Amino acid sequence: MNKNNLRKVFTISFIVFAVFTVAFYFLSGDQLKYRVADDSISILEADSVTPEITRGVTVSQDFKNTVDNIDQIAVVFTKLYREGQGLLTIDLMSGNDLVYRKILDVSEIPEQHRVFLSPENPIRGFKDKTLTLKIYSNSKTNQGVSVMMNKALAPAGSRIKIGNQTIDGSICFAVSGTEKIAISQYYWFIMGGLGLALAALFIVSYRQFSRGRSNYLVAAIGAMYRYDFLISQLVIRDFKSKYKRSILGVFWSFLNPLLTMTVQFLVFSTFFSSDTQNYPVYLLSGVVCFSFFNECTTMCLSSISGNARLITKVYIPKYIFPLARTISSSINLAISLVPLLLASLVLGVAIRPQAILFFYFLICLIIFSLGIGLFLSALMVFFRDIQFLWSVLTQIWMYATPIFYPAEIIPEKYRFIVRFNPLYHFIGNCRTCLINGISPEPMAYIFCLLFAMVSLFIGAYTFKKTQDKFALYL
Amino acid sequence: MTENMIEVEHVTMKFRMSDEPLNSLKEVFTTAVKGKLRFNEFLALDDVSFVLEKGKTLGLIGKNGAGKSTTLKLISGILKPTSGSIRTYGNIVPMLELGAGFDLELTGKENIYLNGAILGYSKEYLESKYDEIVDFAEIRDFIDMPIRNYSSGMMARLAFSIASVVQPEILIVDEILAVGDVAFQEKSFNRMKELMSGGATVLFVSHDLEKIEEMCDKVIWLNKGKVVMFGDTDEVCTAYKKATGIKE
Repeated sequence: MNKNNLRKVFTISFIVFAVFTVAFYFLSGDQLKYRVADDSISILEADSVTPEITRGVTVSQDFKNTVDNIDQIAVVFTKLYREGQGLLTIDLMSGNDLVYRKILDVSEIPEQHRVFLSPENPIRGFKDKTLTLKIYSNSKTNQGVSVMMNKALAPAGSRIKIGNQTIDGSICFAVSGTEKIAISQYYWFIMGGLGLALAALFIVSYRQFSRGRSNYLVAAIGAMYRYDFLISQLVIRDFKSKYKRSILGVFWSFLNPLLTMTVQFLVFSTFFSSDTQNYPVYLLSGVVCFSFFNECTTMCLSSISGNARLITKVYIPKYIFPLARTISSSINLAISLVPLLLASLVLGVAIRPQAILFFYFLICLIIFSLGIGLFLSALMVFFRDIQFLWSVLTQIWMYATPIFYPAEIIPEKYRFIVRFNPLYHFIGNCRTCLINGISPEPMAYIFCLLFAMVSLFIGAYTFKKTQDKFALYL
Repeated sequence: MTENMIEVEHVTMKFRMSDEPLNSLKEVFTTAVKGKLRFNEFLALDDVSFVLEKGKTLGLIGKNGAGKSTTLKLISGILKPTSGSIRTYGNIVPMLELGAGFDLELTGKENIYLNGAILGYSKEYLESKYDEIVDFAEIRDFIDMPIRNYSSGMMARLAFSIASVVQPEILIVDEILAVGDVAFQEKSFNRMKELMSGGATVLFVSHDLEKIEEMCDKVIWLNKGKVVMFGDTDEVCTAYKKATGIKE
């Protein structure tokens, strides 16, 4: 490696960082600025009902809005066996100003179900302000609806105004929306700072290199340059010996996820497909990601012990073996993205530009798997039991990750377990990008990067600490 | 002016060997609980020091288990010494076990590239030397065949050709001159001599004292991990013969 190579690597890394920063800003759109608010109003159980709303009767209620953007309001009505007719108007008022109006046909109002009012654009600018929900109609007597209400669950001080009367309690309604993410207004500031830090790191490393001093970063890049031929040869070997003597060859990388997906689809579609948007694509994306994780870690596991003859006879940096296995699994992953993409197009997923953010999470998944692979390959040298234990663990891990079932079916009290599962985050965010065509919230990016880095650090540290003993135990 | 290519200072190598092979968690756990987890320390090398100058050939002699192969592995970097230091200057080509990196499913050609990469050759270098390797190994007709179909002699010839195509600064050889048929043995022996005369510093292990006497400038006699004698070939070989009772 020489100065030119180093300069090239640094320049390319910096450009990648800059392009990612800008692209992310535009692709993430509103997701960068807002996240789903958790403390919005939701009173949906009823213990009583208001009187019938007929011509001249107005039910109104003041409430304090807690979200930055109101995306949706839900109200629950009942007809109490009356035959509904006429038009019902729901107004959202701020003082005397009308903010939003929705007119409903009374006959179409479902019985004791949420009626959703979704404004075309989120209602902005009323955070911490008092808003009024006003409901009135032109129905004749015995043809109107009543609003479900709750006295016990209503927040203290809430009152319902019915005509001229005022009673304690709250109507059954819910407001959901998004709130501003505080740090995203500093997005350019933070990313600019990171960019400067990166540039400073590169400049310092470069100057140390030109003065002939050793530097960790430069050494790592140098190793990549020095061993790229060996790594590529090992990757080629993995592929050639994997598919040698099979008729379909590399086509299996293509076919495998599709077949697994088909089997799982046939088995599980009756249970889960109704709850999930585009279930086959949901399933296939999960299968592709998890198969990669499974294959990569299992291949890394035996990468040191399987090359024992080589390691005890020739000097090669030992991390090359798990690294080469991870690279060949990643190429496999890239091949299996083709059926995923085709299936998405065929099954009607509208691929939006945001889908490209998918790769960020895939790269995190690859780094995460490499970390685990390094850890396992080192452990395997000393304890051969790991290979059997790991095959059981990956099975448990597969069932603990929402691959063929939707995450929502996990009871709320066990949801926290899933939140500690890195694969849940990687796979979940990949799906958000691909299927929903939107970017996950900014914290998701930070979490996934953190999971990947912690795994890589633990793996690399264990590997480095134990690698000198490998030759003695193999 | 001579410069040192290999400096070995006070190198000690201990192997911890348990009485039984403990290769699983359960075994380690149960023996540890029983209080039987004891390791026998085995001293493979005990305070070995020597230096080798550029262009010289050093022979290692001694009985089985004297520590010859361990020394070679330490110098090639495969093992790390328990204590002491080893410094080498220049690229090392270890011919410890030829063809260790062969993959039986791959063809001869693919294996040339794979094995060459393992030995640290660059792609350009391998491409330029490809024909030389194939011709030297005399396997041109079989080069696109998976090497699982090769005879053991063909495989050994190919391995030797790959390993010896480079002009190394330090060459480490462990009893590999008996490769292939008589004609090829002759050819490979000449190639070795060529490499040595090309300025390579050579470490050479053999039980064949004649070869040692023919090729080496200096000899180390090891016994049970200790240096018994280090000096000029004649001197050490004579003493060794006397001690082991080999007649001249």
